[in-house]
Amino acid sequence: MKREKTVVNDVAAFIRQEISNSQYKSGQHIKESEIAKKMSISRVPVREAFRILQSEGYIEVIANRGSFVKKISYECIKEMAIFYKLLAPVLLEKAIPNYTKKTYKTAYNILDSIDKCENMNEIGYLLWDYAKIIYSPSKMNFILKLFDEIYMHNIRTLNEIFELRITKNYDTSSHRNFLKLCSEKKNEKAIKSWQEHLEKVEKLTLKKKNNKTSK
Amino acid sequence: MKGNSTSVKKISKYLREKITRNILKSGNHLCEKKLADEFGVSRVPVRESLRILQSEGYLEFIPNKGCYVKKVSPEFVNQTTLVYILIAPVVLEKAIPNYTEKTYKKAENIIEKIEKSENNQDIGYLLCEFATVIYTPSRMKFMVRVFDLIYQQSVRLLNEFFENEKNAEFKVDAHRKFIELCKQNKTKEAIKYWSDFLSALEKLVNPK
Repeated sequence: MKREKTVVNDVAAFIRQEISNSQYKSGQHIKESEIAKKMSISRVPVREAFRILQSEGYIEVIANRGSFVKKISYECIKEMAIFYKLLAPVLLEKAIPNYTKKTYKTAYNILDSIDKCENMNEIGYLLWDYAKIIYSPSKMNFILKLFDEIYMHNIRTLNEIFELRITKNYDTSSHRNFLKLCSEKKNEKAIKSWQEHLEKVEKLTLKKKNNKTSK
Repeated sequence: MKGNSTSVKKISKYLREKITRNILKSGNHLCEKKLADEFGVSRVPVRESLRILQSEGYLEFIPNKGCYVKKVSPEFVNQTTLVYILIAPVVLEKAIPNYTEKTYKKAENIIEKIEKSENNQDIGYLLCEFATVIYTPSRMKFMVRVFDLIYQQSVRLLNEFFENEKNAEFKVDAHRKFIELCKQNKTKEAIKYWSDFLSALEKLVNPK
């Protein structure tokens, strides 16, 4: 739904790029009119794009002041990471026994898309799709809704940790390993491997933070 | 037509409160006509309120029988108690070091209110307030929000639970002890005590 080829999505993609490339820096004022001018379009789709970016964590709208590039709150990310790490095994315990052939097929398809993905600003949504596939079979709707919220607010984080300089591809080996262990019915091992993966991701995020603060 | 939407809001609010306070109990039948008479409106806005509350999980329509107050969904209870028990110790670890005189005063005030409360329907709300006081100093915005979400629906469950005299003893002894341990700087003990209390409560609320 969000990734249809529409003007709004194009604008959003453009702004994400500008922010990732530091054309717009943290705390900087970002004006609808400026973007509209740059892209030679009206302000209407720009306004809509701003709303999307706000929910993704890229910008914040301050009443009577305007829109600003949001500073990444590592405190906030850490909090959500704690919650995520605590609850992911709970969800997986219930979910894995409900995996069907379709689950695996869809999951591998998404991983293939991630492998092929050249635009790092799209990684976030693909990772979210993958998460939905592996966690929803748990049917724990209350917790799943919270996970959705975490993903929504961390699209930017997910996109930015994997701003790659060295390799051009996001490493999906942990994900594939997880699926393999699940299909071999080694549920406990699978959950453990996933927990290790989450720890790795958290370390990467903090490493990025330390690099950024030295800028 | 405009009048209808304010009537719908009024009736919905009224019913939500009555159900949360356990004045309208699980299994109670709701009569459209009675409500319409009570509010001086036609059955149309009443029906709409009932549908709204149905979508929020408070009521159910049983074919050929009518509208009844629904029990809090057991799946909801399972999941929320699970989340609660998992995150409470993590949040408390951050919160307790930030407790001030003011925090303790607020907490003790609420405990007193609960003890003096003759109205069992307020207990759920007061327990909510207590939770806000002990968890907010963690400054973990996301976690505190999760607690809020859990409490919104749980107030109802708590009110139901504490109306049962047998459970009345759980009202505040644990809360008092927890605050005492915090005051004595026995943070680890306090957290363990609270976790054990929550687990015990969970077993009672969630008979399997």
